[in-house]
Amino acid sequence: MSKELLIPFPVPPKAAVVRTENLVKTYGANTANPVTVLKGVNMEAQAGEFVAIIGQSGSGKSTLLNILGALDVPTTGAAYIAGTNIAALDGDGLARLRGTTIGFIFQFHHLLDEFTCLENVLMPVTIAKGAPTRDDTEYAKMLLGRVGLTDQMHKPPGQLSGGQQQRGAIVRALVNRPKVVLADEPTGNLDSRSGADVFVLLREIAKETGVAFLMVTHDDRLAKAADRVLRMEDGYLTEARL
Amino acid sequence: MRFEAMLALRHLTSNRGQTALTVGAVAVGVVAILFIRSVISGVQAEIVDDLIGSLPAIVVKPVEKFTARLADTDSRAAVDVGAGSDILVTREQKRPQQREEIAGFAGVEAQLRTFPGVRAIAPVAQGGATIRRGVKRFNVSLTGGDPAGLDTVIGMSKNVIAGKWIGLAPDEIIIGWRLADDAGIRLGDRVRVEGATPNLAGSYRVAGIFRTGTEGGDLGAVYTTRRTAQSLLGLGANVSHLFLQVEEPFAADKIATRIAAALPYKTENWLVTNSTALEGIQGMNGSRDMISAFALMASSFAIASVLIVSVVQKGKQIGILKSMGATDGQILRVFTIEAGLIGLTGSLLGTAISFALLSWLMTIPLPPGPTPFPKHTVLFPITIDGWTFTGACSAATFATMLAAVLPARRAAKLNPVEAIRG
Repeated sequence: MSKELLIPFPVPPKAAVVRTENLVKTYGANTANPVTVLKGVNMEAQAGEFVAIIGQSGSGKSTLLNILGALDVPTTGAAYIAGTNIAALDGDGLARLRGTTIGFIFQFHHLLDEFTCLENVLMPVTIAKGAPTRDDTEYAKMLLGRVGLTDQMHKPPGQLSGGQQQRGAIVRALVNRPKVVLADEPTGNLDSRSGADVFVLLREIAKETGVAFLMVTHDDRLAKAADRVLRMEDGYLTEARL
Repeated sequence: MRFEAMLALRHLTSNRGQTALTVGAVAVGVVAILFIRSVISGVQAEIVDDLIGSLPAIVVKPVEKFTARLADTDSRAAVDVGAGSDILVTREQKRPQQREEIAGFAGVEAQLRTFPGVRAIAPVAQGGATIRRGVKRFNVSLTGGDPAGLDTVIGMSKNVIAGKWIGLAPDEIIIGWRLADDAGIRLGDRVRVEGATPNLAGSYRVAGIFRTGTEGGDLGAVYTTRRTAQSLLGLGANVSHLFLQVEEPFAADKIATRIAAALPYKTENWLVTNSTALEGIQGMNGSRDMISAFALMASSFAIASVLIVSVVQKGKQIGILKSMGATDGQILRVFTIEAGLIGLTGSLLGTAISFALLSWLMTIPLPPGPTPFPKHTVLFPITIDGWTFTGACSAATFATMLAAVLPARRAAKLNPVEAIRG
C-alpha cells in the first residue's frame, strides 16, 4: 500500500496545530473550595509531532486533553487548535471543531455495539455530513486495511479482539482527516503485546499522515519512544527527560 | 437528519425487547382509547337513532290561541323559577274546546322546504283516540300520515315486525306489539277505533304490528293513513302537525328557531323534548374523554420512563458521539425521532388491533333478554369511524413525542466528559 495515500492533506512543516497560553482550569470556582487543576499551562505541538504527556493520576493530564479536545473550556487562558481559540466558540462551534479538526482515542475503544466496525469508523463523517460519501468509505477502508482490519470491517465490535477494537478506534479518530489526535492512555486497556503493537501503529500513522498526536500515558517505556515528553505536575506542564 | 434517523432506527432495532415493550405500551393505549370511543359512540348512535329514528327532529304546530287570563291570584314570584329563568307555568288559559289545526298544509310544506337543513317533511293528523276490543278500551295516540312520506321522517317501516306499513289501505291501522299483546289483537283482526268523538268511529283491520322499544310507542301509539286520521279526528282537510326530519340532528334546535321566527307556527325539536337522554349522552362524552386522556397519559408516562432509562444507558455513547462532533441538537433529534417512530409504530399497531377487535365484537349477538322483540341484535353497538381512528393515532404519536421531550433534552445536555467517564 502506498504511504502517500495516507497523507490526508499537506501540512506545513513545524506548524503549531496545538498551542496553549497560560491555560488555567479551576473546578468549583464559585464555591468555598475551588480546585485549580491547571495552573498556567503553556505548550505547543507541531503537525506530525508525537508528544507524550506523563504524570501521576489526578495531575490534570486528562483535563488538559479534554480542553485541547474542545470537550471542556478553560477558566482563563487560551487554547488554539489549528489556529482557532476554543474559548471563543459556542456549543455548536466546539462540536464542529471536534468533528472536523480533532480525533479522539480513549483508553476504552467505545465503538458502538449497534454498528459494524466500518460503520463505527465512518461515524464522525456520518455525523458531519449525514452520510459518508464513496470517497469517505474508500478512505475508511484503506485506513482499516492499514491497521489490518480489512477482514473484520463488517463485524460488530463484540466480535473483535481488544487490540482490533482499539485499532478500529484509531481509524475512527483519523477518518475525518483531523489535524490533531488526542489519545488518553490508548494502550491502557490492552495487554502489553497488543499495547505495544497499537503504540507502534500510532507512531507510524503520525509520521505518515502528518497529524499531531498528543498521547497521555502512564507507561514511561512508551513515552520514551515519543518525539517529545511533557510531564504534568502540580498543575504545570514541563519538558521531561526520560 | 440522516445521521439522527439512522442512529434512532439502529437504537430501536438493536434492542428489540425494549422496543417491543414500548411500542406495545403505545398500542395498548390506542386500543383502550379506540375501544372506549367506538363503543360509546356506538351506544350514543343507537340512542340517537332510537330517538330520532322514531321521532321527528322538529314538529311544526299551530300557535295556541288564548282566550282569557287566569285570575291574578298568583304572584309573579309564584310563576318564575328565578331571575332570568324560563317561566314554567303560564297565566294564560288555553282553550281546550278549540282544536288547533293547520289549514292549507301543502303551502306550509312548500315554505318549510325552503329552510336549509330540512331533509324531509310529513304532514300528519295526530290526536287522542280509543281502541275498543270487546269491553276493553285502550287510549292511544293516533297518527295519520302518508306511509311513504312518514317513513322518510320517522322510519316506520324498520320498526314493523309483522304485516306492512307501506301500502296501508284507508281502513287499516298498525299498532305496537305491547298493545297487541295486552289487547289480544292479532295481525288481520279488526278493531273499533273511536276518534275525537264517539260518533267519529269505525272498524279497522290491523295490517301491521311494530316495535319502537319505547313504552309510549309500543303500548300507546297507533298509525294509519292521513285521510283516516283526519276523519277520525274531525280535522277535515287540515292537519294537526308537520313532522320534519333534518340533515344534521344536532342542528334541529337552530332550524326550529329559524322556522318559528319566520312562520306563524310553533316548533318543538327533539333536542328539547329528549333533553334528559341528551344530558346522559353529554355525561357519556365527558367520561369517554376522561378515560381517553388517562389512557394517553398512562402510555406517555410509560414511554417517558423507558426513554429516561434509555438515555441513562446510552450516556457513554452520547458522550462519544459528542466527542466526534455531534451537536446537542443532533442528540435531541435522535431521541425525538426514536420517540416518534415508537409512537407511530405503536399507534398503527394499536389501530390495527383495535380494528380487528372491534370488528369481531360487532359480530357478537345480543343474548336473549326479557323482550320477545329486541330492537337491537348485537351486544356491542360499535361505531368504527375513520376520523376517530386517525385522531387516536395522531394523539398517541404526539403524546409519545411529548413524553420524549424531557429525556431527549436530558440527553442533549449531557456533558461529554462526564458521560464518557461514566
